[in-house]
Order: sequence, then C-alpha cells, then structure tokens
Amino acid sequence: MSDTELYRIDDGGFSVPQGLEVLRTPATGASIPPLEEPDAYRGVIAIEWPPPNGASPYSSMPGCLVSVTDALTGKPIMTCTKIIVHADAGALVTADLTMFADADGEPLLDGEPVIDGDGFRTGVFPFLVSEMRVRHA
Amino acid sequence: MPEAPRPVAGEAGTEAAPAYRGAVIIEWPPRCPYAMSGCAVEIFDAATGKPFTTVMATGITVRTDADANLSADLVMFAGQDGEPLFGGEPELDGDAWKQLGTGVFSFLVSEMRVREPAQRRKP
Repeated sequence: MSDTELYRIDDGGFSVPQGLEVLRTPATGASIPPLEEPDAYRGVIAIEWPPPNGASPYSSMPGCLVSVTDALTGKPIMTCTKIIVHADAGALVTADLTMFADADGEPLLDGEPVIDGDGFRTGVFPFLVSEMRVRHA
Repeated sequence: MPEAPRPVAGEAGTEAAPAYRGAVIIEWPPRCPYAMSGCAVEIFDAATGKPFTTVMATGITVRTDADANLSADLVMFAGQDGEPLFGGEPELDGDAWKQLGTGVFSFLVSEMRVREPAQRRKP
C-alpha cells in the first residue's frame, strides 16, 4: 500500500455512489487493515436484563430472565433461545441470537417453528444492539 | 439414612463447572439510535466495586443461555503466571509492549447497569 494509490471503499458495507472514488491516505507509518465483509445483521434489538439479586455480589442471574425486543417495532422476540453479546472495544455491540428458523433458514419472528430431525430448526443470526435495559425489581 | 450418590463430572446431566474468576458488574452506555459502541462498556468487580481497567482494551463476550446463569468471557491482560491481571501494570514480554500477555477468563455476571445519559465516563 502506498500513499499515492487510490482505494475504493465500495466493498466494506458503505454505499458509494457510482463514479465516486474515496481516497484513503494512510498517515506515515500507519497501516490500514484490509476491509472485511460486513456481517449481515438481521436487525436492531434491545436487550432487557433482570434486576440484580442483591443478596450477594456472587449471586448470579439466570439467563431465562433475559428478554429481547425488536428496537424498531418494540415487539418482543419470543423465539430466541440463546444470546451471545459481543462488546469489542473497537467495534459496535452486537448479539448473536440462536433463534428458531423458518423453512428457508431465515429467523422466525412469529408463527409455528419448523421441525427438523428430532427438534426445531434453529439458526444463529447476528443483530446490532441499540439499547440495554434493566428490569425493575 | 443412606447417603445420596454424588454426581460425577462427565456423567449424563452433570458437567464440570467452568473455572469462574469472580463476579462482575457490566455497565452499558445509554440508549443509542442504532447501535452502541463497545468501547463505552465498563466492567466492575462485583465484590469490591472497583473497575477493571485491564479488560477494556480488548473485548467482552456475554453468554446468556436460557438454562444457565449469565457469564462473561473477558479478554484481559494476564500476568506471567497466566492469571488475570486486576491492577498494576501489565507484564512485558521482554522489552516489547506489543507482546503483552492476554487471556480469556470467565466471570459470573451479578448485575447489569445502564449508565444515565448525563453521566460521563470517568477517565
């Protein structure tokens, strides 16, 4: 990579109008990491955590009390069985939701789950997280 | 009265417990229009209330399983003995700051907090 080359940022998730070229000029000694394919986020969610137990600092919270809501519609997502939240210092907060999937493998937000083998068909779908809430005791 | 048989790790229905390094409080930033930034998340020791300053530079993974307790895998600076570093200065590997030792350590989550919009993070 040199200071004189032109770099298009049209493959990293940004929408660049046709014909427009975006210059990225690295500072002396700086290195620009290669652009990565963005994750196909399935939406934006809010996660509601249970209130603290308060009995002891080591009294942990059961995962079944966590609820997930679609941040745009405000509707609860009831088909989620597992949540993994990623909070990297250099990135946005995201959540991988293990959810029931429909016949096409897309996340099932309502309706009947699809039976697949011995259980219901599930998939892991990444979402952006816009809000964390704590339920009142 | 005969003593009930004790579960053995590895048998059906039982698992060896992960080696949790303690309990933490996670403080999230206030509501954002679309997505919140990971660098605004803070971690506190649930027992002492002190912030973990050796975890923010890297990453946090919170696992929420419906049939388990909340836990967090924290990428933290580690000492030369491989144990998480809770304070002080990180150990250097030779003279190179670039080769700081890090490790992934599991903690129980005892509380989630949301920072008030007006509250600013302490430096």
